[in-house]
Amino acid sequence: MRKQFWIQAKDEIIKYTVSLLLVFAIGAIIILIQGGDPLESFAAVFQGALVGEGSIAKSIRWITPCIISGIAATIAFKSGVNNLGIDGQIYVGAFTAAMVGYAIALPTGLHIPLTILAAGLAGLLFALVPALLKLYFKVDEMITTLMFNYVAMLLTEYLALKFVGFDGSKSPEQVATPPILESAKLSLLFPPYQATTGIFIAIGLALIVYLLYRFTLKGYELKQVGENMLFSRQGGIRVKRTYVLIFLLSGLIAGICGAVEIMGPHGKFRPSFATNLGWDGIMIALIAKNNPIGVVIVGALWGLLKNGSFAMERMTDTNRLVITLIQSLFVLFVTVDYKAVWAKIVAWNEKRKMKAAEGASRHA
Amino acid sequence: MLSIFFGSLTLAAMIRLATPLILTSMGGLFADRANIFNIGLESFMLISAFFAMYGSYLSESAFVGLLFGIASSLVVSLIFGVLVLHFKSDVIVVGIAMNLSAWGVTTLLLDGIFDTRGSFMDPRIKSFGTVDIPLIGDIPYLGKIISGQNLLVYIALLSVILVYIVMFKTPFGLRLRGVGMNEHAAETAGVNILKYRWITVLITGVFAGISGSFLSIGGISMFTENMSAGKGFLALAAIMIGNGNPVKVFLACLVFAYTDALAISLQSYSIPSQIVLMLPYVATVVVLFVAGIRKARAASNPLG
Repeated sequence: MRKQFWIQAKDEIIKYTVSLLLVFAIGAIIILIQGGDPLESFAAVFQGALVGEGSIAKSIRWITPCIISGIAATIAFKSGVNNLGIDGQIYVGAFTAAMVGYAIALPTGLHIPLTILAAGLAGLLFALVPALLKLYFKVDEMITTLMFNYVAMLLTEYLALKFVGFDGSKSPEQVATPPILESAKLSLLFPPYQATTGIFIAIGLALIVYLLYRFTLKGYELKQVGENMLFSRQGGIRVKRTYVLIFLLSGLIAGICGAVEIMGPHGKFRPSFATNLGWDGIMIALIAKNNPIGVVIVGALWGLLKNGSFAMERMTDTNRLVITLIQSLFVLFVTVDYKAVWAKIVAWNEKRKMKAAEGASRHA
Repeated sequence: MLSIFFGSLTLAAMIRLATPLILTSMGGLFADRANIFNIGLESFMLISAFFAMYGSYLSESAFVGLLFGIASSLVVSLIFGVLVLHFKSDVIVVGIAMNLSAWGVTTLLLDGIFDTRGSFMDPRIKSFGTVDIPLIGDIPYLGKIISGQNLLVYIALLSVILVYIVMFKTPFGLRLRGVGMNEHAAETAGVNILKYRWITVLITGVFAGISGSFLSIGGISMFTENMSAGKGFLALAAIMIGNGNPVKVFLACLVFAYTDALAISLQSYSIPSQIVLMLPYVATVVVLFVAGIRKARAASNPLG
């Protein structure tokens, strides 16, 4: 049993390492074609992500939302809920956090939890409609959540515009809600850099979800529903309730992700502030194979790369989208079921040999 | 006010804005029939938008641009097909990663080839010109809406009829619908599912290639970073609403484009466009909800 586990783990490690090396090789080639120096560029990524207090602080700033978004995706995808609406839930959560943070004056000890809770609830409510539609009317949750992303982005943009007026004279950068109060701001870890205590929220969430899956009956039920709905029903799990619960939890955590962004680095809500954060989360969860601890590791890698890519763009001529491309290619490489591909090649080869042998025997 | 809602300018804009949606969804609905949920349509369009622009820039001919666009989109669909059909990668993840990759690739190419960021315009990029249809153009109100559009617009409109015929009047369409309804039954009946899947993926590639070309060389002669901006997702929504029926999908595209056209007109009156722009997305969910109620009723009442 243990041996089996190690063989599997070894295969996975090889797959991930080879994929990582391959995508970096591709990245290097692209940088070369662009007329840059790959070594210099990658060194800039490394330096910008890890060397010096400022770099590490900035990396933590990016790692935080990556982990939370990844956890939101993990909860859903582990249980077979295709929540593609994490982006939208982040937006709704972020806007709610900006409002609660701005409009309600409270002592810090109360204000922060209240803001996070409100944002989480907003994300949760935004996930409720797709969940119920799927459950009672079999409406595909992928398409509804996808559509709700745009609803969330446009709705929050509209609401943010209410603060600055609709006259159209404002440039997009000027469109924002008023800044949140100091009492709702998360503390900075290394002032003046934007890393906040949000990182503890991120790791805490990952830990809670890990413990939930590892040690509690509820966690077992959540996993079971994902693995086999029919079996779960036979086994006495209330599938419908569990399904909705999964969806809502995912929305809740996505909402918290939005809150942490607003209460930390942003300080106020701007339309389209979270470029691709929800999709990042889905990719992180996928690479981490929906394992909460894995999400922390992959999320950290993602955040480091993101921060490093900004540094690379400042220090060299290399476009930072090289890193985005490397990340998305890595996802493509990791999704391939290489064992199945290898088995297919072997089978095809055997077949060819058989045919050749058949042909030879016929000639003889 | 009425001129905003039903003016020939707004409706002509509707037809123009519907074109990329129609083209992409007409291609995509084939794959949908083969049960391939392609959220990577966005990447097909974006890549072909870039290469159509590039082809047109190199040759100073819109037709060569279109060929570049279709060819590049076919390459993307080949990659998609190999990953999804042979490597058995998760179709959702492949779609997401391809969308992101396409954004990266096109932006890097823009940077690498033209040394610019954001958007690129050049007099050498030639677009398809407008076509005046002799008789229809003379009809007072309708003429202004339908005539004087781009060649690709007419291709899009004709493609709806073509797809309808292929889907409902040919053996290929019949078998494909069989695959969509019941794979195992179709397989037992001797249909090579893999072959049909591949055909639908490639058809999607061709249509999305024309669609992407329309974005960059269908009148405006420029490429902008991430210019497909959610149109692939809207096309997917249209396919879902129309339940794979070309005529219904076409109508859904028109409705989506109408709200877009309306939003543009309203902006000039300083009315916030966000609420109007939201309509297609809300409408999609509502339509699917209503269809869901019907299905649930039909299931609970087998005689009805």
